[in-house]
Formats: sequence, structure tokens, C-alpha cells
Amino acid sequence: MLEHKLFRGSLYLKLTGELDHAVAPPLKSRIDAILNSNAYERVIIDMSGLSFMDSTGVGLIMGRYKLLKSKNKLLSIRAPSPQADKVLQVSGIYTIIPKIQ
Amino acid sequence: MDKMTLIVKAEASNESFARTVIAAFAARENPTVNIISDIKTAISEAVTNAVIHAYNGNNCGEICIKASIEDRILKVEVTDYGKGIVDIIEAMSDFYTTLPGEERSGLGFTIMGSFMDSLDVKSVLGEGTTVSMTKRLT
Repeated sequence: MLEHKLFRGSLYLKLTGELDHAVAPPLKSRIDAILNSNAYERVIIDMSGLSFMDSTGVGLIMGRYKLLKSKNKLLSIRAPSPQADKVLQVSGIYTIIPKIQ
Repeated sequence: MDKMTLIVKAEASNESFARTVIAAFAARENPTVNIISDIKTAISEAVTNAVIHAYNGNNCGEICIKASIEDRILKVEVTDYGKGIVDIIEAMSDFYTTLPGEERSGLGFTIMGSFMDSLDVKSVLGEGTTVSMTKRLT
């Protein structure tokens, strides 16, 4: 569900499987624990392995964006699957969080 | 006309189950992968709304999901018997949430409306809410 690695100041978080309201609370706790226990300049959330995501995922990403912004850290979304990408596009999140390949 | 009814408890673990069942029901018409994805996403939003809001997060109530296919058009109704929506127009507006502390995006109805061909919401305070959606399966 969640893997992370730190490389040259970038913290990579890779999400896999399905992201909905049933799995979001424990996932959020694990992400925040990783964010609080590492030193980094930017965070990249890799969404290429997500087989499903609904608006719960948008809330989760927005929450992490606000948290990181308060610490002056950058957040990017990497390679979302087509279904997650459509949810993110409709949400308008790309106007504040860049998508990278 | 082909039809089905699914009744589940209003708990989070049934969000995945419900969207998968409706996607499987729609799949018999051989729609594209994108259409199936859109249906799964919209059903997930409707069922999640019922789980979170209808019974104030208590897993005590039920959600009834009726689906039918006629002339390659899928019709789905997601009904709860919970507290109802005070102001439907406000509830359906972008980014509106009654749970700002829980990191909900307030985009559930926005996504249902943009992923399906039609969206209609009927609610009676103290009696419940029915979300009706259609999607052409071609």
C-alpha cells in the first residue's frame, strides 16, 4: 500500500492498490509518520500503482499539501494511473500541485 | 430490462464491494474500460457519502443500491435511510463539506456529476437520501 525512499533530498512515497475512505485513515497516519521522521526538501507521491482512487484521495493529498506548505516543502504527484488522473483533473488539484512523469 | 438490488450495511468496507458489484453488473454490456472506471468512481462517491453522512458514521444503517440496464443505459439508485440533506444545492456545490476537520475534499457530487451522464439527488430530512445516476454503456 505504501513504500517510501529518500534520495538526494527527495522523499518518494509510492501508493499502490485502492485508495478510498476505508483505507485512508491508517494510510494518512503512516504517511504523516514518514513525513515527520525524515529530512527532505521535496516530496513526490508516486500514484502509478493505484488501481483505484476516489475523492477521498484528493482530500488526503490536499491535507499533505497543506502540511508540507506550512514547512516550506514542495509536493509533486507522479504518474497517476488514468482513473486517478481523471479524479485529480476534475478536482482541479493540478492548479496547485504539479504532475510530473 | 435487467435489474439487481444490493443491500449492505453502511460501513466503509462495503464501499469497495458495492462499486465492484455495480461495475460487474455493467460489464455484461461490454462497455469500455474507461466507462467501467467512471461507474466505479461515481458509485464509490455515492456509497461513501451514505457511509460517512447518513448515519453520522455509525455503522447501524443500511444502504440499498438498485441498478438496471435498458437499451444499454445503466441506471443506479443509491438510497440510505439516514438523516437526509438539509440543503441539496449547497451539498452539491464544489468543495462543500460538513466535515472540514476530516480532510474530506467536498467533491463527491462534483465527481458523480462529471463521471456519469446524469445525476439527481432527492432527500427528505429524517428519512434519507436517494442519489440517481445514469451512464450510457457504449
